[in-house]
Amino acid sequence: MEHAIKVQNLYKQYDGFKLDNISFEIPTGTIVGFVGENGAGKSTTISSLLGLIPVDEGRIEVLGHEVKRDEKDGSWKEQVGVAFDECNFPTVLKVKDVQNIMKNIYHTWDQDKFMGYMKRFEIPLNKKIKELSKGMKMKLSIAVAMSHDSRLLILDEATSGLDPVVRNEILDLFREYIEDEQHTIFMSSHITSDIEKVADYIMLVHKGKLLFMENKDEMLYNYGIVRCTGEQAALLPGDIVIGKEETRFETSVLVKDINRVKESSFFEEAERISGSRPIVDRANIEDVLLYIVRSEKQM
Amino acid sequence: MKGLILKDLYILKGYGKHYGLIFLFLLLWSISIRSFNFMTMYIVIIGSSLVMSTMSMDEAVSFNRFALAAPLDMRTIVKSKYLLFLITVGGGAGISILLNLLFTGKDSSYEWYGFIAIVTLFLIANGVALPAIFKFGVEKARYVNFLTMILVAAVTAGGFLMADKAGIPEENMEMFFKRGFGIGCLMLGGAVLLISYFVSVRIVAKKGL
Repeated sequence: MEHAIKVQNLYKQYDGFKLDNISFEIPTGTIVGFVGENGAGKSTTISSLLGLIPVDEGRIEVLGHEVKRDEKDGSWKEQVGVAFDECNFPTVLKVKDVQNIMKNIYHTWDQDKFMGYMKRFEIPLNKKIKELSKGMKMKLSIAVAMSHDSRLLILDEATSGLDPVVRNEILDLFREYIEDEQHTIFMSSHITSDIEKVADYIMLVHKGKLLFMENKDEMLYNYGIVRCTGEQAALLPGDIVIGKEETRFETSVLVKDINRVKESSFFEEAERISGSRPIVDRANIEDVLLYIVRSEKQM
Repeated sequence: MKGLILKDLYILKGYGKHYGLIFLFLLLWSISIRSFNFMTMYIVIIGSSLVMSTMSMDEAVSFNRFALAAPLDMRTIVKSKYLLFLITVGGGAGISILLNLLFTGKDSSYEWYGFIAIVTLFLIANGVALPAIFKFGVEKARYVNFLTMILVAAVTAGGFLMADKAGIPEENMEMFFKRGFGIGCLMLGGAVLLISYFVSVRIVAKKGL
């Protein structure tokens, strides 16, 4: 399997935060959703991938190129499209100015493609960026990222703050982008429902540590929430428990292999000791994130 | 590099009308009093402050973060700002020279020395301010810029006062001007700017953009 991104033992320390020995590989032709709470290390990881910040240790490879900060030849970035959480073009520029500027920055700039996106998104070329809505600004950023010879899109919260209609339009665009299986998207987002809609893999980072990278469908199939009493929760095998939440009335436990629970004698034993049968719900990405974060806070 | 300069020129185009009107007013005023001293200074001040305006715009939307994610290296980004500075101050100086030639003739030699001194002053002030912008951001660096200008102007004025007190005759001063004052000033300004560029590159390499 080819990989668009390979990261080995990435370590970066700031005051009060460290990205702790992160390693992962992003397969070509997939969409990988990168989730985690604020300050978990998502933007630091993305900045490291793009060589925007110096890293303390580790090796990063993007599209087969070893990323080094301060390298003079940045031509490999022709193949990487980037959109951050805000539109990074000075607001006094007109949309047509952006086109002229990018033509002189990217050798592989495709004017027809860009104009096609502008038409599709109904973004007027003569409008100044400050006159565009937030949704239009983000569409412009994403259009720029996709209007050169990019094989990899790196998006840092690029759909945050947008309404569901605009987000859906953008997600459609992402699906089209990876259709040929040669293009890859690595996107961080707080909006886990977006990730759930388009991602093939989910990567969860928490307090600078990569907790897991899993196939989304398998994850959604295997993860579940067991709602029971505290006594019953103690019967669950410890190695599959990811997080636990306890209230006065109920204990809910996130487990990473709900099928193993179902196949075991857990339900019978639980019913025997408390008289009631535990309930099992499917877990979504947001549940996984919340349980992990909350469990840590309770500890 | 071309794309970055183009971006800055598009930004400056937005200020065109505003500065054009001020320029027109100053032009009419300078013609009426047949002196371009104030106008010269104003044009060069605007030339240098325009660079800061573009950097302020970039800072507001984190443009440099985007630029570094594009096929541009940090040296090119830093270099583009120095080049823009030379374009705007050079453009301002060019307009001033043209106006002086058109309206005051070639015999106003003293004004030429004043003009060179002003350009040098701004080269030095911005030579100090540009690394400060990369280090602390535009707002703080504006103060550095003005403080440097005041300092350089004070040192120059102090020099004249001391020469006056020491009883150096005006003719000797004129001789001093004629023997390489202009070239010396511009070389000093150029050297400060060159050193400033390398300091900026170092700051950016260490701190990031």
